[in-house]
Amino acid sequence: MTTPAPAAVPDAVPATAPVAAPAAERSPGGLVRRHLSLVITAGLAAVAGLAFHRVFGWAAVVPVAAVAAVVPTVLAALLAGPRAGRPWPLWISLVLSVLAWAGAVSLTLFRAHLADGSLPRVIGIGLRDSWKGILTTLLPAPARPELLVLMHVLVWLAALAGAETALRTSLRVAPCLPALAAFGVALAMGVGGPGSNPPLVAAAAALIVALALVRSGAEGSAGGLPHRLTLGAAATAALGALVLFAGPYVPVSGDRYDPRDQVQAPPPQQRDSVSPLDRVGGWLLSPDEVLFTVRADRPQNWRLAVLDRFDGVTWTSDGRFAPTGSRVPPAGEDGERRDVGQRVTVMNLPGIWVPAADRPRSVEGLGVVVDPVNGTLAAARPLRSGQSYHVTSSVRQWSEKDFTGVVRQAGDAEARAALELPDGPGAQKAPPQIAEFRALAQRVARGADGPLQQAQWLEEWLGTYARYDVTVSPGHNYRQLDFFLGQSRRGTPEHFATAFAVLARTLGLPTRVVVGFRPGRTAGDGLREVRSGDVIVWPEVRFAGLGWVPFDPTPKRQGRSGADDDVAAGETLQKLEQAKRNAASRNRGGKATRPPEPPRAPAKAAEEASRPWWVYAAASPVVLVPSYLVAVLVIPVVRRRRRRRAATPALRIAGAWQQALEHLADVGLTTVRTLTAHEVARFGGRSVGDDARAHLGSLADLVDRARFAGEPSDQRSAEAAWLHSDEVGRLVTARAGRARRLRRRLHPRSLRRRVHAETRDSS
Amino acid sequence: MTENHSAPDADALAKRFAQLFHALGTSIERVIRGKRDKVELALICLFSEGHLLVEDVPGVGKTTLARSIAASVEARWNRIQFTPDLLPSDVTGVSIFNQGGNAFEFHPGPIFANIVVADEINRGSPKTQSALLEVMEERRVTVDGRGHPVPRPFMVIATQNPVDMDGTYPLPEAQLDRFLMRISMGYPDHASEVAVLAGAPTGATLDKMPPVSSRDDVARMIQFAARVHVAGPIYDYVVRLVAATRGHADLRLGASPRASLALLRAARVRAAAAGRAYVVPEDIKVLAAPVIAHRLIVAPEAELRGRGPGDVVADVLAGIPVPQAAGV
Repeated sequence: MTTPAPAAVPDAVPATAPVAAPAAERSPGGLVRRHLSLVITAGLAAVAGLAFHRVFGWAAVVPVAAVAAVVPTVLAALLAGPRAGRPWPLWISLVLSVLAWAGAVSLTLFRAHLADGSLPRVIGIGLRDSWKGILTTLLPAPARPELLVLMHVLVWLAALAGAETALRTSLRVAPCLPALAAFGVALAMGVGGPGSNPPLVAAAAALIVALALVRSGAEGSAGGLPHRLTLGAAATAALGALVLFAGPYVPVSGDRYDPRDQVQAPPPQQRDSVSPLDRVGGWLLSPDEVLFTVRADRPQNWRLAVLDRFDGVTWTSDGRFAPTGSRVPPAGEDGERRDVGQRVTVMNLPGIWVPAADRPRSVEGLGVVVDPVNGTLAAARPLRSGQSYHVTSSVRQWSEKDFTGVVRQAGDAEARAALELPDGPGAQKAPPQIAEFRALAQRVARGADGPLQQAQWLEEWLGTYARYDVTVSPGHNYRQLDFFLGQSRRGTPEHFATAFAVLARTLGLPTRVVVGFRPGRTAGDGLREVRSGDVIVWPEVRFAGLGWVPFDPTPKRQGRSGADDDVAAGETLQKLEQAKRNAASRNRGGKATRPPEPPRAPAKAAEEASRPWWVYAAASPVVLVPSYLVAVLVIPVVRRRRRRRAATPALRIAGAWQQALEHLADVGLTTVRTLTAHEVARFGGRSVGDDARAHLGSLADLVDRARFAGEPSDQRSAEAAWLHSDEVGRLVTARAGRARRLRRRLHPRSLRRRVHAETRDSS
Repeated sequence: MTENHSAPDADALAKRFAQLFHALGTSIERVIRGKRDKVELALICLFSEGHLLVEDVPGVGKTTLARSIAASVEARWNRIQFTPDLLPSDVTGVSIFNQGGNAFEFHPGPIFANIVVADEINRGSPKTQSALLEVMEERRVTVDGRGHPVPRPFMVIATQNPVDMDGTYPLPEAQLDRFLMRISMGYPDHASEVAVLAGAPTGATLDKMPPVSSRDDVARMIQFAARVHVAGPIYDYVVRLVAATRGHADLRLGASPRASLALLRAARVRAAAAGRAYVVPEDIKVLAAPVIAHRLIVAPEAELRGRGPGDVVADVLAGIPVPQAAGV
């Protein structure tokens, strides 16, 4: 094997042309330099492969990097052996290398596909799509063969190109360039991944220096090699140390480059046909269904879905979900956090949303996609009963100092999206409710000291303004929220949270809605059963430097037990509430927090609700008693007048009879439902006297004739009937006394018209 | 109101009916003292062309009632004393071969009369009872293939003694249904019984009863009563009453549609007797017990509680709303 040195080549011969190895190269010193160069290029390729550790993790990349760096180097070394003073043609080396690569990946990465005949197709798909898969997957990416193949081929090419360059040219540092290129690709793909690269950079720098030193002796005597190696080692160590320790302190301006920013992620999909917010009402109405169980370090509220986009009718998630191996990128906000591990077992939880506490850090045991912005987890397919997974969450720990000097969130893209109040699908103009909501929110938050207090006052006002009622129909569009705020004032957490969100957005507070669950009931051995009735919905408001802060505008549910279930979560929430209050109070110079101002518009009901009860209690008799007196005294008179002036004689006769019955009620007649007219007359005779019996008998005859004779009654009969009826009234008054009659007139029963079992057609 | 008469005519006819009815009642009451209501029920049966079952102890005037009705309407009456050996032909009549005429001649039995008193009907054999009941329903006797209609008006007044039941054949329910009414005479009140005693030697007797109306008058009254107006709600009321008995918890058997027809027929007569040409709910309520009660079979457990068919009818009447005059 020969590598022509530039100094030994005539000027007319290109530096890279394969030439017969000079005698110096075939010397023992030249062989050492050559093999040292191959070792260094292989090392550089391996370092480039290890740089993929931020993409796949160390455990996955070490064996792949080792194989992909060593095999092509050895192959190149073997093929570059002396062949009549000349090396083998390069194309032979390339062809054999390609074959060797195919064999290597088949026996290592794609060993599982050897038997089923799908190997060529799988390798082809991997080579074609692996870069897209890596760039659209949250890091670390799963160590799947179809993704690792990209690293494998890059390292292989780097090692092969470096080795061939080192063997066939006399260039000092050119053999390191392929590895540096692969290193660059690995660095770019690993942006945002866990871990850091300075050690690898230091190693690469040291190897490059070593390569330059080793190859610089090609034109000199072999006797200077030990000296140069000594100097080279010292220089390599110094350079490596410099890179390792000084590198992190190199000031870098601007945002780091991330190739993922250049990749168009797949469009958001309709991940679930039913929004979890729409399931809240149904869950609350059948609260005993076990949805999932959790075994956790500390019980928390379990977050199911974050809904940050409102189109005027529905709340949806605007997140672009990305697949992940297990890691979930951390939240952008600083602040104290505590890790909470959870083992979740799905029971009857429908849909694809995966519950977890606060901000997950890693998920194991379930293939999920992640919204990198808010950490929401979703399964690739609808959840099935029995599925189990482990989540490690990073739970935010709030303190009073977090809320000191809270300012409104600047208008970045996320904040702008969380302020939108669209007109609604198909709406031609803005719905009037938005202006009413804005006026209402401004009235509630008037005088608030900063955005935090605005949100707090909204929270407190909603919690006292309306009542918790699970029977209220679900829905949260503008009209339904208007009905909730203006009239019904009863709702589920769905209504409270969405109303808060809309009101807060009108105040310029970036707000989103979160659906989740309470910690659930203890089922022994640290296990908690989370049931459908544990569902809760809360809004979150984003503040500058603070991130998303949860609020709870839903009032306590009457009669709900299970205080022990909420202890830990309650502590967290109580700390949060107390921290917010203290901070708000301190911001106002120690003055107490002002209670929310009751709104006056748009809801008149709210205005009435703010009036003390005793006002109504005092005013009601003044209004009701005269009204009642007028009613009981006037309505019977009006009714009698209407009876007497009915359209036909038959109706007038019937009216006279009804009037007589009302008279007889004064002497104890309670019902005539099963009595004939003459039975009533006999009752009247017994109660009032024979005179009344005579009149009632005659009246009964007239009534029976009008009703059953099948012939029209005449006016004289009607007049006679009223004469009898009036006479009965006079006799009853004489019998019962005016006081008793007056009492009966004042009785509410006098307002009621006698209703009979059937009606008749007037003839 | 009848279809052939205007309202004043109907009212006038109803008044005439009421006068005759009242006269008949007064006449009979001279013999059957203190039982005006029973007499009127019996007359309602007569003008309804129904039959009457009088169930009571001996000596309260069952036979006298039948005879007095017959005497008052100038009708022919017969009395059949039912005994176990009484044959159907003893009731209906027989055909005897007349050698002179060389043909069979039909000799009518005692059933061929306007008023037939079937005394102690439950002592007759079932076969004989059936022969009588067939005539009651069909109003004709068929002998040797020839039908022999009974005279009109035709009314059977059967009596039963509920106390002495030895050797009797109780009438089956199906045959009880053939009687329009079942009444109990009951003992007279004190004053009436004193009057009976005081007038016994010289008082009114059956032999001395003058006829109040002719058979033709009775036939016209029957014809008029059949056409008394019944309003729609009355039909509905009757049907609801009868239907209520069919689902009553205390009954094993409720009233049949024949009961509805009978109740309406009797109510028409009562309306006419009151001088009305139309039926009112009062007519239905008053006649419900006599017309319906004997058609009901009380469940044994209800019977053990002392409940009778009359109690059930009272229950039903108390539960069914009466058609009312609707006002404003």
